[in-house]
Amino acid sequence: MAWVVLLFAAAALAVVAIWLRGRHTGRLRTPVPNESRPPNAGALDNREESFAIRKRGGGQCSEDGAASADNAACASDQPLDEPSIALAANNGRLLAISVEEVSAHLEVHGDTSSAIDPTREPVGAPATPPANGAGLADARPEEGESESPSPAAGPAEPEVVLASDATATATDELEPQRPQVEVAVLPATVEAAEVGGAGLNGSSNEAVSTQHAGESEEPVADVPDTLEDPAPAARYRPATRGSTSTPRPKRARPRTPRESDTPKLLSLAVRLVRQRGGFCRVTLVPARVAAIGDSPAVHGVGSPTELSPLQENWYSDVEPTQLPELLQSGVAWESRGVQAMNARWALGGRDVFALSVHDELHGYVNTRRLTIGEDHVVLCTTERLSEVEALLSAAGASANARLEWEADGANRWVVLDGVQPSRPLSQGPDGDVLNVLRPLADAELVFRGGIRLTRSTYLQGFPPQIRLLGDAASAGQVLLDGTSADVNANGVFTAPGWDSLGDHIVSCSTGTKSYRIEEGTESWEPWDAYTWSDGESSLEIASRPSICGLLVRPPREETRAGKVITVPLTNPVLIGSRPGELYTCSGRPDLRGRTSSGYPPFDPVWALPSDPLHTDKTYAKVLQLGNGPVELSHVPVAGREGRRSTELWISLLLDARRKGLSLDSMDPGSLALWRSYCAAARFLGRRIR
Amino acid sequence: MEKLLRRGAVPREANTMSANSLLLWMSARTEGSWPQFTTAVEDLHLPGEGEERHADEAEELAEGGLSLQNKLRLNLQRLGHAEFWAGAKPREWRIAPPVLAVSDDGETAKGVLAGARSRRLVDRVATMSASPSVTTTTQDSGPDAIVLEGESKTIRQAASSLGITVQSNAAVQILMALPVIDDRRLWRQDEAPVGTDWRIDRFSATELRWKGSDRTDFDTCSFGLFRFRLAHRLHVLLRARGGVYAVPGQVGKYVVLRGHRRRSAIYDSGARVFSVPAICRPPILVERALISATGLLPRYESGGRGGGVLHYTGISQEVALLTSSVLKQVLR
Repeated sequence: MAWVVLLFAAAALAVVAIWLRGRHTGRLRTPVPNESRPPNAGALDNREESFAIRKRGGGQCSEDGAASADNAACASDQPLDEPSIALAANNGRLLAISVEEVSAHLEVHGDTSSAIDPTREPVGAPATPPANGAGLADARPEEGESESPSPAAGPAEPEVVLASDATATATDELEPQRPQVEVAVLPATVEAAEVGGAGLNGSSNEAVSTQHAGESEEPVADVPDTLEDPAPAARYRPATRGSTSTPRPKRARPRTPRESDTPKLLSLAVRLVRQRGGFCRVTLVPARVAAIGDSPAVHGVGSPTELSPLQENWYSDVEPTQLPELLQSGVAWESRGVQAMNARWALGGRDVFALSVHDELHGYVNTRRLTIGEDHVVLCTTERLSEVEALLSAAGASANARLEWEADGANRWVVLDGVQPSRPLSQGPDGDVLNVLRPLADAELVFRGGIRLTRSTYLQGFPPQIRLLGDAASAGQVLLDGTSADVNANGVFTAPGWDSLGDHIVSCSTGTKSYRIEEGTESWEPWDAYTWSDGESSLEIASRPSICGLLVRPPREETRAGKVITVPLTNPVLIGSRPGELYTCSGRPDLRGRTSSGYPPFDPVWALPSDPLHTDKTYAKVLQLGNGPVELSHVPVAGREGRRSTELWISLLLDARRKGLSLDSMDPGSLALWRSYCAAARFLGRRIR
Repeated sequence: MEKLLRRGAVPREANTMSANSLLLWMSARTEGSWPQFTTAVEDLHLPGEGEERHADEAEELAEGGLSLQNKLRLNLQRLGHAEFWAGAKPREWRIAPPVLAVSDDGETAKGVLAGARSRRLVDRVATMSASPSVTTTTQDSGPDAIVLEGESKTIRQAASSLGITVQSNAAVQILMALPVIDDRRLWRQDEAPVGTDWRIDRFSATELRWKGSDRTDFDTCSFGLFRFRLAHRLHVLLRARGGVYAVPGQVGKYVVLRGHRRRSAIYDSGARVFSVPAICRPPILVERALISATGLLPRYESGGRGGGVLHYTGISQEVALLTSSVLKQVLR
């Protein structure tokens, strides 16, 4: 009886697959007699070809060479004298439809919406049922992972699904390793649809975007036990075609998100973050793929209006108010994008969650099961607490403390902290939720901590901690770059040179991992980050200085300026070490303040009042800005402008000295430097006169 | 099982690292995208949850969603370590070059280390001779503040030996490179978002808080600052001079305060502390200037109008004057 069920499942599988594929194309691929192929040819060479009609040989039918037990269509040994389409058995009988019948129907009706009467007598002798009766074993829903049943298929309106379409569509929707079923099915019964649909969806539960967390251990896309009103599966409606007397092979069009109604199944992680005072925060973290968009609108119980991206592979945390209830009942969210792919996030409800450190998310994230040697947090309902504690004790992982989950006002959950199992446990029955607390004996090398520059490259000085999780006894000796590694009290493996620059390999009997240590950058260049900006918008005015971090850079148009100088408004004139090096700073009249700024093309040594002879020497001083000695090697300065600036340079210094302005610093070195500048000015003044 | 209950346990996550690691990572990478930054924050398992929510953080929460990533981003910008978004173009974040921001008060000078840090640089700073002295201060949601103190000449020589640029009077120079908050050339004309689902608030200059508003109020108002929120989206719009302008939220608040002639900034010249209501946190570049004096994030004090007070320490009178000028405030 089981194989009958399996056959029904395969039938429903193909119906759904063909409907999904043909819904937008509206076309029905017609069979193409593959006259070039011998009648005893094996499986289809290319599932994208039009239907190729051939005799099925046992065990050779499916493209990936799956055994005949997995392919009812291959089970028939019935030699076919004419091109035909082999059908999944209904009540153990293989039904065959001739190509001519299909073509004739299309010519008459123009479409196949009211296609062949399934009750008619089959052409050709019915095949004997497959001996093993497995048929479409893979279409059977997996235990504990059944998705919502497909709704009733309604009246058994005839539909024709061609094997090539079924195969192509089925494999589009299923995991690649699923065997392809070459069937053309008649409309399935409700039962078959339910079983097949569940099987299809159950298998596709694993087709979840875990590419971003390849090491993710948590069950992905778990389907809640109580799912609201799943979208009913629409029926296959092939579109009207023109003349179909000469069917042409069609190549499968590349699927785009807009054309596909099948939502992308993504995981919904449970994350726990410790907080101060023994509290914790529990949230849901939806997985993310680029095709869905940055901010998809989401609907479902407890869902936010839309998601916001957290990082490349995850959206930001969501904390529904009814999360304590949802963890038990399950969560299912959907998004339907106009310009983006549809998506579905699901988390199966359960009474126990095991959480561990995650590679991509900080805090603790739900995992498939406890791992020996790893630090965990366990979340369980109060009803299951005694069972959980007993199991943890058996695994050598009694909780050290409990955390308080403030949002769980009804105290529905208990949060056990510091769970670190040390012993493997034999697994319970399949589907036992407590298996999550039964660690396996498998050993695995992992890298923790460090500062990672790329996936396996670490910054020098911050190498990863090499640890062995699981049953260490089964791992044997750990070698690091061929040398036996030592393990410290914290379970971290090291060996000489393990943190040196270059590539490293860690190996044990259960596997090998590699990592690389690289130097970081040691030189950083500034740029004009903000120019006349409010922090968001910038006017990029070339005459204004720019900001980069704490660095203020001269305006772009001041090409000779080295840096920005600020001086009090009382001392705006900057004097350089060479005669003629003068620059006058200016203030900002729109700002209250006593500062002026400038961008001199030289390194200023002194800042003087603009008119030293007529300033109040009680307050005015000479400010020292640098230590450069006076340079007379460039005197006399050529040109009229140069002579003028030299004369001004001389007069300012001499005026300041005549006025008796004091220095801001009474350091002997500063005084000596000032005197040298004044002496140089006097000397040059005499020469010029 | 009661004996198992023990509150206040220290987090024992094996991979807990600090914001220092994030800065080291950013310095090694030099630049990148926002997803890379957020991934690194998660990857480095930075703690940061469970801290007291300040009014200013609530404000930021409303304005950007104060996730750990955003909090770190804002603090890194305030401290002058990195630039994000507009300041980092064409990338989404870029590490600023290492700079020693030296402020000279006459007898002693102080040099705040900001920007990129490598392990080598940090080790060299830590192993410097007694003069100048090096002080490292841990702070929440930000890298350690590293400050050199001593004579100005000694500090500059130390910077030269470390191979890092000296920025004198960073606070003054930054403030003098900024436009005043009511420079309309920076206001971008915009329109209010359509739809009835937007939650609209209006900033009250008298009560120093956001108050619920509606579309009618927005349409009929001649001068005011409005906030439109929907999920994680936020639009801050200023109605002024017959137009609608998109402005940074903190800039808009000070425009409104100016328009209502409200004084919010206080300066204690004796203690050298510049204080503002928490809800009136200055625009980010102004805040950077204030923080550059000490390298420390402002101290928060709860209570009072505006959801508490932010205190910026080590502020000279000149810096306080320039800050109040940029913010169009009269100091109290």
